Amino acid sequence: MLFLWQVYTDNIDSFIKILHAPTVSNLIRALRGGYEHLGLDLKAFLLAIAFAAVVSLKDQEVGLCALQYDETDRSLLGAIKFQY
Amino acid sequence: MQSSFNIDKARLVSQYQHGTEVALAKADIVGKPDLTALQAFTIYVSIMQHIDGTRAPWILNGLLVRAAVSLNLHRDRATESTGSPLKTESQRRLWWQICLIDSRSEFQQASAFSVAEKMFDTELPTDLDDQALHVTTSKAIIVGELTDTSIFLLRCKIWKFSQQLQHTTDVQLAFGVFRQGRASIEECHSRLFSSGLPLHCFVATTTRLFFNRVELTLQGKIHLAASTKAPVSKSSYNDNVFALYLSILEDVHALQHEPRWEGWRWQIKGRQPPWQALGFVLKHLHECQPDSHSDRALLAISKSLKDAPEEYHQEVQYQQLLVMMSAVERRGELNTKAAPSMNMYETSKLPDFDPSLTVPDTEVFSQDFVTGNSSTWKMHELNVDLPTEADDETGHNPTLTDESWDLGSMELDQPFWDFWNINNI
Repeated sequence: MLFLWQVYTDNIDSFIKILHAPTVSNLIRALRGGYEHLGLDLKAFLLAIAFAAVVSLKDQEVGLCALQYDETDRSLLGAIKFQY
Repeated sequence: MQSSFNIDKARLVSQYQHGTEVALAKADIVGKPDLTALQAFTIYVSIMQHIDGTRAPWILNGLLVRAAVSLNLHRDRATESTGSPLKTESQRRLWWQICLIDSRSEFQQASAFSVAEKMFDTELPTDLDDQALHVTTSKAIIVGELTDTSIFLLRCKIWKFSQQLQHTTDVQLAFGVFRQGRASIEECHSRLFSSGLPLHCFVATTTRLFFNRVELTLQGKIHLAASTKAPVSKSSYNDNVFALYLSILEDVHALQHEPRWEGWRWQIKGRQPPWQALGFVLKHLHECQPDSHSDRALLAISKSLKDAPEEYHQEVQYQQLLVMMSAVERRGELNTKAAPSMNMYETSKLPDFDPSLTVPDTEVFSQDFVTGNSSTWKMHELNVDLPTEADDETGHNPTLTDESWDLGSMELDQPFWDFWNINNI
């Protein structure tokens, strides 16, 4: 999530300036990948950020994202219990 | 693009899109809207507008507007009396982003059903860095300094400016409002426009493209209105249109291809060449004597044609442009005043065009190009027309018209005012 948050701040945040970056940075760092007990609104919030970030990824960053896509991110997607 | 981990971008986007949609459905924005859920929904809709068209997101934004109103985000006095500066700014930013989403729609009559300035009194976001937004204090604003919010604020001001123009029905008046508004915005954000940073160059280019697109249409309408009353000189009008289209050509190419801007290109949908701009500029070069702008124009056209995605190479318009380009280059060789260097435009790298196509006179080119008709392009010797004695003293062929480009009849509807609409140029 930290990687995607960095991508978000680089590529999205200047244009869709609705977040207070220091607050979100502190939130993501404090979570340390523990998404299971988050409220539904926060899960949606983090997933929206991640969604925006992957849309803006450069082709060469897709591989980096895959490297970063570890158990913590899998648990974020898994935490909302969807099938695909 | 496949990586060694067998994941491609499309699949990654699909996973996160679906995950976000499920999460948003569970967050119950309708039953219990709160700021965090609204922020999530706003980010989702904003992104969807750029990757999936404006139709569905504009409809979804209706829900977002009402949810925001239920939290009083449309009232600035209410937020100031109860919230910290951080909360106030967060609410202002959210409301304004919802307004920006609402201004983008493919429905021509959407403006009648979209958020308008008279519906709210939420102040513009303050031009501050995020670090300056402390919970209990607020930093004094230094006018002109670039902050984390500067780019967003520029977009909000352009929204206000567009709103004002949309409600000015008299086209002469609208043009005056346009020139004044543009000058004001450019002056207010001069530091951003003169910055050499890639992000700021990207923003400056998108803004300049929007302004030039609007000016082109307003000038077209004024010219059309004037020419129905009395004959008017077309040469200065054509020169203005040429200059605007040339700038548009260069900016569209940069937005679609500049490598340093790839991270922000998610906002640019499609890689369609700017057919109208290409056609008009080439027509102008073919008709007129070479001048100080000819080299720049030929370079811009050459780059646009060379870098156009392959899927467009078989389009009739693309083929016609190649043939026209060949005629212009040949004319340049024959003209002793200014013969542009072939190598400068890398014309040897342009694709080969259909050999059965040869350029007809420019009047036919105009009509055929706009309609996509190729049937009048007959097999004959290339007929390069040099200026004749019938031309006026500026070297322009007096029979040339811009009616085929239809600048004056464009509807100033919601899709026209979409800041990110760079197709059909």
